[in-house]
Amino acid sequence: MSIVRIENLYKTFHTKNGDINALKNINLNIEQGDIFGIIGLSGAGKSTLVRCINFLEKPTDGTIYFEDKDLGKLNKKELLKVRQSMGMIFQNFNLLEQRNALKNICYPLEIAGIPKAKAESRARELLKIVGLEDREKSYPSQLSGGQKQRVAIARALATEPKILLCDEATSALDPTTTQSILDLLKEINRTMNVTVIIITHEMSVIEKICNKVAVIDNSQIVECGDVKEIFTNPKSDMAKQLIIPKESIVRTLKSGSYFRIVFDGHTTHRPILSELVLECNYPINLIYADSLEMLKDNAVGEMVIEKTGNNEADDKIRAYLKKNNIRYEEANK
Amino acid sequence: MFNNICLLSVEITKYAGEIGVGILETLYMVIVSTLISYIIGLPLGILLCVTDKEGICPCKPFNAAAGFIVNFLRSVPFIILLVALIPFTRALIGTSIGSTATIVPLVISAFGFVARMVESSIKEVDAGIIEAAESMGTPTFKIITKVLIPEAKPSLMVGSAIAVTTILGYTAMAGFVGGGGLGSIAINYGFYRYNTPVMLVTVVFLVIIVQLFQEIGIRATRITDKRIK
Repeated sequence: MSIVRIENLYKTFHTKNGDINALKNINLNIEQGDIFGIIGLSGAGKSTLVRCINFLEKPTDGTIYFEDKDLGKLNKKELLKVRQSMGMIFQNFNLLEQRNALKNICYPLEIAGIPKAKAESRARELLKIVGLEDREKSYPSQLSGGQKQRVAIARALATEPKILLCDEATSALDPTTTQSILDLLKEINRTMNVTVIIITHEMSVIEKICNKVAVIDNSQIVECGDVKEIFTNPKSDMAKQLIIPKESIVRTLKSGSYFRIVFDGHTTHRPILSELVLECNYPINLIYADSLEMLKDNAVGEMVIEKTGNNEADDKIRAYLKKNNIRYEEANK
Repeated sequence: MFNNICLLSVEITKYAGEIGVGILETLYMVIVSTLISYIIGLPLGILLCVTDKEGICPCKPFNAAAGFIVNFLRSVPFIILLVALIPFTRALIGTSIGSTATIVPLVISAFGFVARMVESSIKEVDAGIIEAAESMGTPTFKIITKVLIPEAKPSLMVGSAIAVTTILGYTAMAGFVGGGGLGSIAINYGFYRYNTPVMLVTVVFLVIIVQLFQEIGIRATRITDKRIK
């Protein structure tokens, strides 16, 4: 069942220097239970898009459906109520600086009119879920970035939302902390059945936890679908740029000819390189190899090998790759 | 030198009672005027901030009108306002002399200043925090009471210490038109009667009161501000 549906969304900002089209003709369908990634470079419009989903930004044109309710048709009070079933976390955490961790988590419950004692016990439960049960009295200034984001996640989950919007939630964090926050989001998605929508400019975030992804470029969605599908076979230039920046390694090589072999996961447990050597009976020079994150237990990655220079051997390599349904590209310098 | 000190202490003892009353009158004027100025200035300052075009509830006509009144009152020098308001004060209090009567021009002069201080404190609250509150479905009024005021509290407290000091300075000026308090004593004895020792003593007390309020304000801020580790 689709939980968020976006139809023909346009958003234009009127500024002194003329109109800026932040979003153009966006159509998206986000299913219940998805971890949906929206990726693009800075200024592509992704932050505006996520703010349209909870109507922090009012669309210029188009419709947003949340659980089949047209958000544009709600009055102010109904909209505030709907927002309580949408959690949101931010790059800069945006915690109330003058409230401790526990009181921060109590905030949305206060707004929802939950009695204090009940709110506090719920907040303590959430602190336990995010692994900060011993920090309830700490103020944001006494917490690290990762801890602040955990408190923010707990706060966003307090009202038991159906979806969690993450606006560059890990962009201010170091790689290890990012990993732990992503693990937490994955866990929340699995155990609490919260649909997670993630805005990011980092492909690694998408690879790690999303099952669906939309690539946004220049205010438009240029590609959308399963992460595995787009990852192994990117069609748009922007997707290619975001997914395979490592191609530049091949580009920087001044001379020579190469095969770039893409592993989409179906050969995870096979010794492909060894088989290649045995197949063509020729020494192979490995230039570059990278195994990216596991996508549902399949190792996805790429490898760049130098062409042997021996036509017969190169043909054997091509034939082997084709036979085994492994995608490859050739680059001649 | 010794003679001078003797003279000074003689003068002070002679006027000790009057100076004591002056101190109490000054404190009375400062505290009451500050309170009333905040009763008017705090909501006005918040309204100025939230109705701003970048605010959470933009309302251009109100913002422009309130802004004009505040700027107008603030641009009139206090000593002029003091005199100009005499008929109004008399109508309101029954007299234009004494410390209670002085509270009227003090408040009228100070609430605009307080409103601007409050406005700038509220503006310091991070837009991201306000956005987070909106994303959690907070109605506008609750954003003011649960986010803006609590988050701006340390800055508001520093502002109130500054407001108290400014109002204290105004009370001294009110001495020229029979406003009572230490200001009156300084002007009546020091200025009209060339009694320098008494004037010096009142100035010393004014300095002490300023330091006291400032110190209390800063300490209270430091204790309550949770951003300080």
